[in-house]
Amino acid sequence: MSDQNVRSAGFRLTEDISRRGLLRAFGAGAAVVGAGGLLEACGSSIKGASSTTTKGITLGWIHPLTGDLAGFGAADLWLISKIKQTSQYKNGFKIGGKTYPITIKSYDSQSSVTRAGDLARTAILSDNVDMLFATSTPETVNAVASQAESLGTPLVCANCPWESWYLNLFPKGNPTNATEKAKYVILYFLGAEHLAECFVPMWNRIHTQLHTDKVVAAAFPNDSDGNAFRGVFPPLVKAAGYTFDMSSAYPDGTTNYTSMISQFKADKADFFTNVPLPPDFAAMWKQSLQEGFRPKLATVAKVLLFPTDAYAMGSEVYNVATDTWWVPTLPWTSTLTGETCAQMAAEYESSGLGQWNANISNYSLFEIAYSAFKTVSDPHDHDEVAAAIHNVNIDALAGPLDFVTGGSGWIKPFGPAPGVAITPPAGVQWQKGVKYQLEMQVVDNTLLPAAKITADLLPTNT
Amino acid sequence: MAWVNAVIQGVLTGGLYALFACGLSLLFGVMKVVNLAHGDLAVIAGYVAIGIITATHMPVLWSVVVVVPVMAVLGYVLQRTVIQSSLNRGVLTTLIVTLGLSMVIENGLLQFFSADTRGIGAGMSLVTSSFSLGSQIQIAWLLVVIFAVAVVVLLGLQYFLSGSSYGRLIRAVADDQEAAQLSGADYRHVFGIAAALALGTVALGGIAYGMYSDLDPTTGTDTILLFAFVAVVIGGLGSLWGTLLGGIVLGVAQQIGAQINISDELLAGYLVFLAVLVLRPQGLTSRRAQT
Repeated sequence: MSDQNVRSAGFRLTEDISRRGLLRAFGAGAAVVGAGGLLEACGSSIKGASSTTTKGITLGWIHPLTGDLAGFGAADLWLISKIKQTSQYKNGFKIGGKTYPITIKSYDSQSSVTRAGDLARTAILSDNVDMLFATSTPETVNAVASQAESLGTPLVCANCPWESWYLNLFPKGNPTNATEKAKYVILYFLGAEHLAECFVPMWNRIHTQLHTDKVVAAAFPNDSDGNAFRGVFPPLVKAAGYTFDMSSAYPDGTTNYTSMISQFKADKADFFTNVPLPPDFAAMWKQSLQEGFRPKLATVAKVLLFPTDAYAMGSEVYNVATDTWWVPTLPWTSTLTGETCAQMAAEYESSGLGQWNANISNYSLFEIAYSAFKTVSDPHDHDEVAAAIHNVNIDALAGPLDFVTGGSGWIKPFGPAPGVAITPPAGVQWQKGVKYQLEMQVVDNTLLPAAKITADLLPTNT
Repeated sequence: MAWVNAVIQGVLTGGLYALFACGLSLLFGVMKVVNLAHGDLAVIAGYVAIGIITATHMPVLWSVVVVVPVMAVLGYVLQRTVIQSSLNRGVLTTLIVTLGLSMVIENGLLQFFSADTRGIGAGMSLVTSSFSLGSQIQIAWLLVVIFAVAVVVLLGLQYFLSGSSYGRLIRAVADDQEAAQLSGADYRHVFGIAAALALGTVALGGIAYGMYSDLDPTTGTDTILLFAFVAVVIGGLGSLWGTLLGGIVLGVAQQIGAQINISDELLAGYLVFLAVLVLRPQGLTSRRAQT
């Protein structure tokens, strides 16, 4: 692996060889995959090699940068470069009088479950990371979480509904009585119940406007998210006075949704919700339009969260609603630099990467890591660091993250689950924009009052 | 009504499967080569189309005019270099060589184009528009167009093979390679032409699939090759119109399976495949006259 070559070469270098020389020598190999992450990683390796007294801290981040879930990772490499400019990460962590230089390694899961698990093993067993991050859907996070928990390496997860994550670690667990505690793994995100409670107010508003039959069509796949949603959604939706018309559990990668769409049409569904993989949604939505299933409001989960996914479908997604757990108008700031959400979003957009997206909140992984490492005596002691991440309680860029009590934001009867901090979502909608073709507008802030409403909720189809 | 709809949708999807399958069938019929890189070559065609459309902003359907000849040339070259030299070492070698080719293509695409999924013609009116038959049946124009293209391609191949001198040459070599050689036919060139035809059809299949669904580096082996293979076996190895019949049977079986339960879609297709293998191993049309 080119990754391996670059790293071992980095350790052998003497100090008179410049970083640029190293880049020139290995640039060709490193440029092929995940160039940014590798080059940055080897830059820091040199720093680690030059210090004879302290072995640096290595952080590994397993995330989908390519493949079906690439939209989720769109901000990640920019975030790594941004983090490296903070004084804490640039100068190293001062722990017990010693300074530990920081190496950040980026591992692209290519959106593959098996690859995510393999990378976790590589990171833990070969690269000896001191802490892992895993983000973006159960397809990335769950395999890493299982490896980290069994191999005893601290892991911070984000962007994966907590039930899917919890039921993977504890298959016999019960989300309404979540008492099991992972020793090495924590998570901040929302849960399926937050999405239901985020979507219901939007359905209510469209119902008031257009007088529907209150039938909600739901397409939940046969995967971690789908199975969790199948358990959580029906009681909440029925309690809100809606008929829940659920499809059978289709396998990921299904290409033909005719039978499901016929069922929704026959049942005269006015609303549509789902939790698919992005390419499956593209196929499903295309066929829905072809076959004349035009719900008055579509509220989707797991897809259209990011501009890249939305643009891939173009005008087909006008006025489709979804959720978001981070917007630039939130009043939160970085614990590392004091920058605000608005500043982060503006800087992201000015760096030429396109529109801001909610995964800028992955910044908080590094806030959690810093907050935990500075309380330990030995950063290489995995048990001590694992205990420290469970004691993190910070007001981060992603919002208040309280892993001690679980914080507020839980919806009864779910949680609180040990090691989980909730970042509740706001209801958003992709509307035809002014500055960009598609703009994500906040249309409902029932669960996240701090997010400013930026537009009226519009029906997907009238 | 839902069942009628399932059958209609299945028949139309069958057209897409026939586009995948006819190239595979042609190569087998003429050269006895089971081309395991068939699906990956379709994905390459799709990627070439996407590249051309992005670079030149030409209308999506016009890309066909460029991509099909490009793939045909690639087919000829591939046959004259890689496949022919493995054919010389025996038929089984071709299986291994094409499997290797498939892996090289898949991993090459992964390396240079990443694992991202790409679609062709998103937002085009052809992709989203449909017409209704009665109140409950909606038929997508895209599938109708693909089905029509499949029929035209099969008619064209049929006419070419039975009417033109090159076609007669191909059939002669397919029937008896040595006798054809004795009569002065350069079978290598003939094989090259057959491979060019096969890759031309697979280019259409790749572009059609890119419009119908999405392409990523693993689509070739996971979906296209598998469905092409099943359609060929159901229809009868080496039979051209059999591929259309095979595609339709597979499509209808999948849709009826999906109507029972959407997770049974693939299972139903493979059960029919298995049933054909057990009850009628030579395929539904055992005639091999066209090739």
